[in-house]
Amino acid sequence: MKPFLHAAGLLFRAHLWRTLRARRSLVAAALALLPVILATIVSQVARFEGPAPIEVVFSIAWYFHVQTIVPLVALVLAGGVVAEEIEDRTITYLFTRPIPRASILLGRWLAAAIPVVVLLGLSSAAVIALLGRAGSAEHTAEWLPDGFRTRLVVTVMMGAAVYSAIFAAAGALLKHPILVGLAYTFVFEGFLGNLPGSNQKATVIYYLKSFLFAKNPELTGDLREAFFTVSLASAGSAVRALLLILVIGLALGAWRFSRREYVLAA
Amino acid sequence: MTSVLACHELGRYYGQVVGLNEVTTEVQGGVVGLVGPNGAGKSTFLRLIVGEIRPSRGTVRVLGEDPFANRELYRRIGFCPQQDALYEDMSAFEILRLYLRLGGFSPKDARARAEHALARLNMTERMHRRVSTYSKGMRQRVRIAQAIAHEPEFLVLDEPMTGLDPLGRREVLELFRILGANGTHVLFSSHILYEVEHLTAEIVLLHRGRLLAKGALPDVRALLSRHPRRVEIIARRARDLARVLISHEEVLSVRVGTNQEREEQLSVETRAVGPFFRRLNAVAAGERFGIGAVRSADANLEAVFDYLVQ
Repeated sequence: MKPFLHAAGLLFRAHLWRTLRARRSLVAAALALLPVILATIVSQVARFEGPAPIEVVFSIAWYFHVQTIVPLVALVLAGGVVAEEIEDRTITYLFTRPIPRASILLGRWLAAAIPVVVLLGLSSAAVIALLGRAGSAEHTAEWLPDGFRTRLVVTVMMGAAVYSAIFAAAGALLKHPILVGLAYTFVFEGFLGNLPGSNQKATVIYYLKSFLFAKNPELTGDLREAFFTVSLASAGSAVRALLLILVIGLALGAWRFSRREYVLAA
Repeated sequence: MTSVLACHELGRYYGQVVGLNEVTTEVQGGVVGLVGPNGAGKSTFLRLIVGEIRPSRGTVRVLGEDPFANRELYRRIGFCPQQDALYEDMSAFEILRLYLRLGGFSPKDARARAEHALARLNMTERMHRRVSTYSKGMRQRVRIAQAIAHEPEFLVLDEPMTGLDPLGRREVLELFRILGANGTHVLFSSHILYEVEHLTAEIVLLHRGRLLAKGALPDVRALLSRHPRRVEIIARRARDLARVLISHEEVLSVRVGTNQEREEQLSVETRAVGPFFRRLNAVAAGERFGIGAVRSADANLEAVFDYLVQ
């Protein structure tokens, strides 16, 4: 285990700076900024009687940020961690080092996942702060229950970690991880995750939703019927399920990565 | 004694394409050149040796072990791939230090070894610049440096002279010679026999995925020298020149025709290229035949290897 963690740590440190300096980090930052811009516009321009309606908050903080931006940013930064080494043909150097191949995936995933988690965490904190201020002057942010803001940020960060693990593993398992990742985000998570029925339980979004709303289902207000077509898991079960998905995703990717041949053109 | 390399009926197919076919050979050690024209299967062979890919059939053993994903073996071998791939946004020093750290060296050792390896490739002054600013030759030096930095027992190099200027080639050949003299086993591929000749007499010859010959280069060259070669000459008085040339013993046959530009052309088959060219020089100096161009029609390796296949 020690050589595995040692190699993963070295690769994490070496690639963290590379990730931050990469052009795709700018794309990711731009994507993460979109909900913040939207929330800024709502907080500065829109005038409501009372606080911002829950539909507006949900559209930006949940549907746009959690369901769309979180997987997209994870895909942009983590989807290519293995594919990039293969396409750039630098994988040869790592494969001919005395390290477990799985450590390459773990180290490179960490180097992508941590910026994703931090970036999206900051972005969600900004979004909820801005939306909390939206509305008429006499209403302040207190209309949101205790701990909800923190839970939203944690939800986004967990989503970022889990999606980045899934997409990093997809890079080891599939030939076109970005295309598959897009299909997964919009078709599987976006469609299946919102379709009434227990099929929702097969999606990451269901567990994120469970974690966020298990304690405050009343928050959804009039949206409740449309939002909770399936009973939510408890917050604890949701965290366990998310952790399990992350570990299984990475383990599957690492297993395949350790055995797969990558035939590179000269 | 364990062979450095032992292959038995080794084959590798890419779908319907044969990369390597039934190669059975053994290399005891020393410096060995892997020669063959482009597409001969050299890179496939080397990738099988370093365990980057698995055989489709047969076996390969490197230092007595199966190389695929063999971590312990990777401490003992160094590989310089043919592809021009490096982390563009890192410096040569950072790249080598990372690979050495992954190889289990302490930070201090990794630093010292990286500096030493890059110094051996004359990269000291430029080792802290980003790879994206390097010339082709400098990039090739970095690729070689990462292969030798951990002082492997067995060095596998795929076309290591690619991108190097003549001076660079000399320096790198000298480095390989020193490594070989110090006991490192070196297997390097090249499609230029001249390069191989400068470094070793021991060659493995591949063609179209098959092992054609293995042994001392002089023996192979002797075989090549007996191979009739064709020389094409464009001359205004081609028929007169043909009459003169055919009388000489090293000329086997002469055909007169026209080329695509409708110029008169001689196609001469000779058993000894060197003496023939000397003779041609003498003939051309003595009488005006209007010689426009002379070229060896089958001097390229493809023709040589075609001959060896027959």
